[in-house]
Amino acid sequence: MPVQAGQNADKGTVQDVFLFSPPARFPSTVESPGKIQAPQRRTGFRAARFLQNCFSRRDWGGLAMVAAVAMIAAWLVCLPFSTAVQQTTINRFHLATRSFAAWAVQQPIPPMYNLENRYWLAHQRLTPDQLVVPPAVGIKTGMVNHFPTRLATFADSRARMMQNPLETWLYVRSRYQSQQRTTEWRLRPDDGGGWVLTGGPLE
Amino acid sequence: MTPGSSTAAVMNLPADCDVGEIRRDGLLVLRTVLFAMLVSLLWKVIFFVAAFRIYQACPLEDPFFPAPLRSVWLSGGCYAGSVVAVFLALFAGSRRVLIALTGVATACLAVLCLHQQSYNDVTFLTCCWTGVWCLWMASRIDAADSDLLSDGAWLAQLILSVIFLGGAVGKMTPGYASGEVLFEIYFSGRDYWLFNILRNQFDQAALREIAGWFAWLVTGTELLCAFLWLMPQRLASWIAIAVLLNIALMSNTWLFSVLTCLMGLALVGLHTPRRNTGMPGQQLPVGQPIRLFRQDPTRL
Repeated sequence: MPVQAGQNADKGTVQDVFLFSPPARFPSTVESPGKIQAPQRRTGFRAARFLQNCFSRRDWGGLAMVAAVAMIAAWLVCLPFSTAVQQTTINRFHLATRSFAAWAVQQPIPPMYNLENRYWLAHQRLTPDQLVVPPAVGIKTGMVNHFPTRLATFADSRARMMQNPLETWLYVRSRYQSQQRTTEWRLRPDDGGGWVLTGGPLE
Repeated sequence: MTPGSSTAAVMNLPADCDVGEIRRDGLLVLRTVLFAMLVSLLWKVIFFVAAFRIYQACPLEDPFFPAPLRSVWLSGGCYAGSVVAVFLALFAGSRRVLIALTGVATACLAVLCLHQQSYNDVTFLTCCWTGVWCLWMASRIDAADSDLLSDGAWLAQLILSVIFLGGAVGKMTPGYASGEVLFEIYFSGRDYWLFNILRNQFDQAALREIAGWFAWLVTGTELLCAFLWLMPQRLASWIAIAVLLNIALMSNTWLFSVLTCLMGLALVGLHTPRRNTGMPGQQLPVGQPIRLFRQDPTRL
């Protein structure tokens, strides 16, 4: 019996209709011989479909990616509510995590324009009071979008250090809601033409 | 008939698209993302070359990073390695080669995310996430996978969602809510067309107020985009592309190094074949697989 293709056109989202021997994934595509039944429109969350496909294809890589993203999202959702997560994130930005491995584990977490990061850069050591009311001259201050330690480690900062090879003090205060940390770094030129960075918390 | 082609016939795939081969439409999508990734990596190539020279001339001893992750040659090698691997992957036609090249690129980018000289540059983070997606796509790009494109689009939008979530949540602090942070970073002195116009038109008090509204707009938009994974596929793609383009054009064109690879991921959702429309009135025989697409989407 001829069948009008257009009759079924609005029912399908996949590219083919199977009359015989449909793949196991679409057991409902055939109800009875001689009658065309387009594959039922796959409704529901795309997430559920993705996970179903991963399990049926043993796509462990796909599942691992979803698991990693879910863990990162859970961590991020906790950030506004948990002081422990806030302090860990601030320590990450200050390269002050207890171990490098613990810091490295956090690197896949997107940090763009996170926290309120203020810096002070001077060729003299500053007291905490001077950070509140900075001296009128000889100090540069401003905001950094993320990873404020780049003021010591990144290329543009190092170019400035090369032009003016004087001992430099860098202070960074990062805040997130009630949590904050101020770190003091000392940048001093060494004998071999390089620089040495040492630092620790100011408060 | 080979076992592979028999399976392909059962699954109603094109005759020349044997199981175990790669899907041409999947390959096109993967190449699009790889190209976007290459653009991201090369957007600041002049800066990276200059930075490499500076790092050579001015090494920094920092006890936090292990010695290998302070090496100039490691960062330079990983950058070059990722660029070369992505470039070669654009021309690869074999699944194994694609897996190897995207794996190498992702590994190089992961090292750059941990390296003293590049950990703060989010270009490498977004490219690394994109590389992980490309690696997954390469691993599933065989011809028998009819859900490849829709699954790929959802996974790409999941990655975009978590990146936007990171941006939104990190700004939920008084410094951003008041506009102070964005005022100091952009409005007070950034030499860019939008902020130059605003500085010419408004005084400092008005600029601070605009910065406050701008911060709320940015955070709200990022929060909306954190739910791309729950949205209809094409809508999510269009929203992501519009927002990513807007971020770069409105604030800083250097940001294309961070955002172009993400735009590539956003494009994945647009490549999926549209819903079948069929041809009303067409007489179809019974007893044979019937294609409702006038044009086979796997033959590009």
